[in-house]
Amino acid sequence: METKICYLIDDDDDDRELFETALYHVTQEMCFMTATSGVEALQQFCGHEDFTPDYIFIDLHMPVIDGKECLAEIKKINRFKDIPVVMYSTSMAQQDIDDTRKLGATAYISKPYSMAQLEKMLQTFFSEYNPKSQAHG
Amino acid sequence: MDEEITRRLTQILLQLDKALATANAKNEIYHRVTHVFEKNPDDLHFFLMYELDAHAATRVAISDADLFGAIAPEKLSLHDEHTAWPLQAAAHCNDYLIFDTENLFIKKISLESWQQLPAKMLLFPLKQLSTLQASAVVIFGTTLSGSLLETQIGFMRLIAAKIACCLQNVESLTETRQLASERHAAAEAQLEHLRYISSHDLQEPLRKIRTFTNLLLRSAHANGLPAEHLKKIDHAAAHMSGLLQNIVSYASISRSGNFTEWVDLTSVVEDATAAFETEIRKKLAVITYSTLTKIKGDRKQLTDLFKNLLENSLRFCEIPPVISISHRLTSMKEGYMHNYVEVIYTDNSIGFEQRHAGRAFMMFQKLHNKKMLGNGMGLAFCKKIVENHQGFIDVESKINQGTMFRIMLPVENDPEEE
Repeated sequence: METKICYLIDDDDDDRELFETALYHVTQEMCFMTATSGVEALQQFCGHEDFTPDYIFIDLHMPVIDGKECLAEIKKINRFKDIPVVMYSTSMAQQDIDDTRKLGATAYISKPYSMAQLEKMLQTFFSEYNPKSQAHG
Repeated sequence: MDEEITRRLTQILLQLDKALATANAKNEIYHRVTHVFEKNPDDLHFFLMYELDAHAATRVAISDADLFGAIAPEKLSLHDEHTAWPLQAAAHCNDYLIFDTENLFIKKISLESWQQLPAKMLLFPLKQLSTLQASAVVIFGTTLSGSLLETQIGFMRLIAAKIACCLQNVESLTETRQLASERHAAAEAQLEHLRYISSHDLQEPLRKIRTFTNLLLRSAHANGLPAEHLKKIDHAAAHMSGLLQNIVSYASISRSGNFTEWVDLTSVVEDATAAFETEIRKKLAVITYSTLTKIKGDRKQLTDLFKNLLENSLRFCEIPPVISISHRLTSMKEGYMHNYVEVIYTDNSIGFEQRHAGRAFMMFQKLHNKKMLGNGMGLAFCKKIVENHQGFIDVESKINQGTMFRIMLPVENDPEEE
């Protein structure tokens, strides 16, 4: 089975660390990669045509390019059209949820208060969205 | 005949006094003045003249305040030279509106048409209003022959001054309101920013404290280490996070102040009661209310108001709660600036000492011990909602004898009914 790539774009060191810890608890068969800004991620995506993560998580509140802009830019890249992109944010403002859904986000996950919550959310998400196995099946 | 005119002028002055007492907009003043003048008959005609725009208002001020004094009483007889006054005043304005109360029409006239106005007229500029936008010119005309008495002219001045004064008050009131609303908008923007900070930036560190504490808890658990202190950290952070959320909700009670929707308070109370159905049944609570009135307001906020009151009553009752909601309409005679609906809300809750009443409406204030859970926000929400509706709320309470809330909400009033 091919190792899947989970890609997190978040400017917050702690959040990247927590996410990684949670992901490790959920599955050890996924490769975790991060970018600290939308710019960094987009450079990587556009510079390496053969690189396509299986899941992308984007923090909503980031300097320079915020989560929404980053999402919009990613969705402009052809090979990313069907890649699930998840918004990952403290804000649960309905406006943000609606906006990002319109821009093509697959899901909206709030940054949780406990590891258990985050792990559960990730677990649920991965079992619902399994693009490559669907493609193969 | 002279006596008759004097009598009418006195009458007009008295009527104006009454009619203008509660006027608080320029149009309202014009409307009411016209209304008073309309009632006056036949041989004494009044024309109200208003400048058309703010620009004209400053220009009409050329005929300065001394104009009153400049008109010698003997010149106030009905001779042609008096048309010179309106002409002078008009010379600096392009257009005027003439309200002919005799024939009940408003007509716009230009400088040229001044000459065509009936000669038997006296012109009173209301005031020198060089900076204010409010200005009007009252023209008195009479079909009588002969001179007006000095007392009569005195009354005309008083009438003119009365209207001028009222207009000026309204104008400065409008200015004050404008200033206040600008300041208000700035404050709202700041509040919005604070709200955002509270809901996002301040929550962020708390979330991390909790998540990392959570990680520590997990490893403590795995290694069989005591975790009491870690749990306390988590509780404190969770509490802080809840407090912040309360501040956000408090700040989110949007301040409209200009409500257009008619809300039936009876259905508001019904909705609020329905929200606590289970609790009411469990505690054997009895809630009685009469048919309440309709007011202009925000349905959701008003429902929240009663929900918070009910929640408090249900929480702070040790015996089956008995809650009653009644109302009455106040009248201006009671010395209020507006007509209000006074809602009296009483319960038989455990109450508190009256000296703490002021604290009751403050955020996070709890007047009861901790075992009676509450977030200390309920009455703060109530106060904010009532104030949003330009009303006020107060409370009377006695330990073990229940609590009474008095909520005053303004109701639309019809000046014609006064």
